[in-house]
Amino acid sequence: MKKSILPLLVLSGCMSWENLPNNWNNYQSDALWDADLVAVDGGVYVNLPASKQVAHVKPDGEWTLVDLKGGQPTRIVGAPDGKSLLVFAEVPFCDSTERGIKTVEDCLEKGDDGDLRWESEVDIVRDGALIGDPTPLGNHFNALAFTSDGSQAVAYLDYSDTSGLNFGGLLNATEVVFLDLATGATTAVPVGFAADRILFDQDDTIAVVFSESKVVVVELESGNYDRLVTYSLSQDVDIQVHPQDAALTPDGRYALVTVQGSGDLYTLDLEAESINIVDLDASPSSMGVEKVSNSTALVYASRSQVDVLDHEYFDVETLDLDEPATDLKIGNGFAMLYNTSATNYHDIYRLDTEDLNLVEYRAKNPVVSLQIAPDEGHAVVVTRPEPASGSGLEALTDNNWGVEILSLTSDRGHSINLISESKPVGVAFSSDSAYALVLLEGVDALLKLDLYAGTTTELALADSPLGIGAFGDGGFYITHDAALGLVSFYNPDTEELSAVGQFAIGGLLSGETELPRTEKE
Amino acid sequence: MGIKQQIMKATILSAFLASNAWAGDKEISLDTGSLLASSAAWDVVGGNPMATVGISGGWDIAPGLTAVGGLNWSRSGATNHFGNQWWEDDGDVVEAPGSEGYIAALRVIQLHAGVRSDILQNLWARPFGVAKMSASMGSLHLDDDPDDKDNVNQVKASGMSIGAIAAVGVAVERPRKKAGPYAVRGELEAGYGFGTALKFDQIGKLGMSGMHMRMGIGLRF
Repeated sequence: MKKSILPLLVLSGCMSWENLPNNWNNYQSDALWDADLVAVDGGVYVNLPASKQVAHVKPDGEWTLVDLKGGQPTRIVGAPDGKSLLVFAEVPFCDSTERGIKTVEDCLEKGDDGDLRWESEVDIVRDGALIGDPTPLGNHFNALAFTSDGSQAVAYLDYSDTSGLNFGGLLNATEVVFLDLATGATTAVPVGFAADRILFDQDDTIAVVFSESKVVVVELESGNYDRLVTYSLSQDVDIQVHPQDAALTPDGRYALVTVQGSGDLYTLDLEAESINIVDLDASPSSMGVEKVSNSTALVYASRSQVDVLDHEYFDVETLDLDEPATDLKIGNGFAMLYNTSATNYHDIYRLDTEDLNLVEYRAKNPVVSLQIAPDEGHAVVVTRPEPASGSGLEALTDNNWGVEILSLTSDRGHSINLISESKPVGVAFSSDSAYALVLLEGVDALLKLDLYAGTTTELALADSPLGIGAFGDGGFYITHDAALGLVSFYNPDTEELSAVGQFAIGGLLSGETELPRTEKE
Repeated sequence: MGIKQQIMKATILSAFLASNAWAGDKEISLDTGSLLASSAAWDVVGGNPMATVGISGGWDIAPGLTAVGGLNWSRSGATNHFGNQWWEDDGDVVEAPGSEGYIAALRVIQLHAGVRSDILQNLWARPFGVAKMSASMGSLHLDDDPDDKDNVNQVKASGMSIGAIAAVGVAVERPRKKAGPYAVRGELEAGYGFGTALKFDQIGKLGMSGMHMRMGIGLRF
């Protein structure tokens, strides 16, 4: 038998991995997979934009395609329960009565204009399988906000990402849809124009929906999603108030709203149903609520100051800074203030919110991002290159990306400054906060950065990394720059890295798009 | 040996000699051709069209009717790139996963057999029609890091297809009576191939129906 096959193989010219035929360049509009994956218990879900599928990938190397009953995913979102995946999907239908129409292409060829239509839905997936029937949803909704227990969600239009938005006909941008994830029941609630921020109180009894010039409080307990109260942020229809940022106080009584282009800070009393306006010096660039001191910190891109607003009398305490801050991160009893604008500011501040003690750190280069370790003993800062202003080591620092470790127990602004050979693409912390895991662009290694000593050890990766995220109980996943799909799962306890690939080949050679459901279904 | 056996032997021998007496009753040919199964999936493997080479042969089974068969093989591959990239706030260009793309390569071996009917056999140029059954075996290779021989993403899959080919063509051949024991024959045929798709498990499928072309040059003897 072998003798009879051998000449055939010789004649045909065997394909070896080192010598694959490669006589063409083909350009594909969509990547095979999206590295912004969703981690759940037991695996990760990956959106496959080219083949319009979702892959369920497990650390043991298995992967399967999720059967969405013909739904083509446009976006995937992880639910807070750590188990469920919500998939925004579109399904094609053909209204033509012509015979023999089985695919979208058939419908376009044989049907009339307008016979082909796409309906949008949300699919709930657990353990790699669709749960219940898909829930129809207006096709302009592209984002979800979840209650803390993950039992309910609100679908809304994220205006910051309307790429590919296909709402067809008339778009009603004045309502959001409440979704009961247990039953799949949906309830549309009018909340005002351009609602794009939804907050929930600690007990998940109310949702506060912020829209243009309006804030609506919706109750969540009855299942009717009644509007309890509507706050108008403007009494004049000619004056539109665009919320910039919003937060609830720790007791859930007050909603705080900052406004684009205005120094007005609206404080909505959700119990007394009243509005108070605090006059700030400018429109804040960022706001954060700190629980221990029961106060809110506000920073300004245009002003070198931080304001601290107490939640009892809403008095504002202003502290001067050497440089303005655009961003802040909140810890327990403190806030980290830093500047990520295109300017070349270097200052980072730790504001102890109870005694208003301000500690200054000086980064070597401008800050790109800041993350606080779980035990809040350290923060890791990624910095970017800036125009060189000196020579030697100073010039080397200026010309390169950097990773800096800030000691958050230091009152002297102690930090460890590391020069990075390439752009850091991911930072994550071990559960004991002893080290950070750092990924560098184009470097096939996972760097374990000792937060106390600033030293690193390396673990070899299967390919250059794209990002890192938490997975399971203290584990991590790492995405790689590999076209056919590659994710590594890292177990810190055993220091084992297991790479799982090939999941993006699912549906790679897709042909025509079938019409998956009849009208009756 | 009885008289009946002698008659039978003489009959078989005369039939054999008679078949050998047809001019050009066997043929062998080297072929080149193509399959154009136009679809985006074939672009992925650079096989639009898919060029083939092969060898074929024939045996006249009746005047003007030839049993034909052959073996074709083809290789094709493409580097696939992605067009989507975007710019981050810091000005960095971000590309989708797989910035270096991936290679998709396909090898197809096709066996075919059928009958051909030549008309106007005494002319130099003679039209013909041919109908063949075909069986194809495809082997697909995917690799997103060809420089790494241990790459996790070296994917290999195979698929089978069966189908039929109907074609018409023209052959150029010196009339057999003048050519002597060997005659050079050239053929050009075009038609359509119907076939089940090559299915590669979860990767998808490549349709095998499409335009078929073949050119061959060989000998009849």
